[in-house]
Amino acid sequence: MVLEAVSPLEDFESVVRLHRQAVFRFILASLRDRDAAETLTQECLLRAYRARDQFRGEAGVKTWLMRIAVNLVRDHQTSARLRFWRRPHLDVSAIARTVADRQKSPEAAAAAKQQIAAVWEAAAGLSHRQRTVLLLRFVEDMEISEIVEATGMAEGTVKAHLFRALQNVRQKLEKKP
Amino acid sequence: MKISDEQLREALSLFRESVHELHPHGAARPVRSFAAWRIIAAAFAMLAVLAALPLYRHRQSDLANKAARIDTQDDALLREVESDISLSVPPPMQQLELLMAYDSMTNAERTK
Repeated sequence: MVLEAVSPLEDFESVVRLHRQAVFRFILASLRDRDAAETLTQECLLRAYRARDQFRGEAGVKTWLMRIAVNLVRDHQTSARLRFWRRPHLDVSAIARTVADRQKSPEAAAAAKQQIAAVWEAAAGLSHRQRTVLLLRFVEDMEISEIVEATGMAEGTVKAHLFRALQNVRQKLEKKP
Repeated sequence: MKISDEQLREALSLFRESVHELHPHGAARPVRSFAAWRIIAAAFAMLAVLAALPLYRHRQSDLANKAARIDTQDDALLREVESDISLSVPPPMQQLELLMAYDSMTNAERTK
């Protein structure tokens, strides 16, 4: 009896259910534009569906989806330079407040709010590659090898970008009162 | 103020938590800023006004010229009517009036 390997993309609905939110939050954290994030998430999933036959299973499904998302974000940022009147807006303080309110004391909540705002600010000031690497590593908890797959960069380049991104975050946190 | 690796890890963990709060079609959908759209709308309105200004001026000038032309024509007509009214007899009878005036003159007046 020959057992045929079942592709994890056979049940695409499950793929969408499992990974849609991760793709969305990565795109939104990269662009800070909710409308663009919604559109690009749909585009990412559509592209993945159309190319599902090309998925060989060498990388995980999430890594594969993130690779498509990274390319979409890069293309969007390139074209966004021409749409100078459109300023991305995401109310980071509201998001920071939600998380900070879970802290045990008002002092801890205030400190957490400042820290979250500082990291968001630092992330906004990073280059596309540095931000991508930072988000994939510290938000999506991906391994360096997975980030290499998702970004198409060499391992050394990924590590260098991650190091610089962390340096920037550290500097931003140190500047906070 | 230097921060330790532990503090950096904590900040990144909080950041991670905050990004995980972002959901598609989320309830806590941030309010979108419409400032840019307001600026664009105001700029378009300003351009429309600037474009319409020469047309408006041209139209006003046309109306003023037309009014002046009508006034001139009215004046000419009025002068004509007034000159007609000032005549003692209608123009076709003016020759006859002259003859009658001549007849009624004395010889001395005629030689003058």
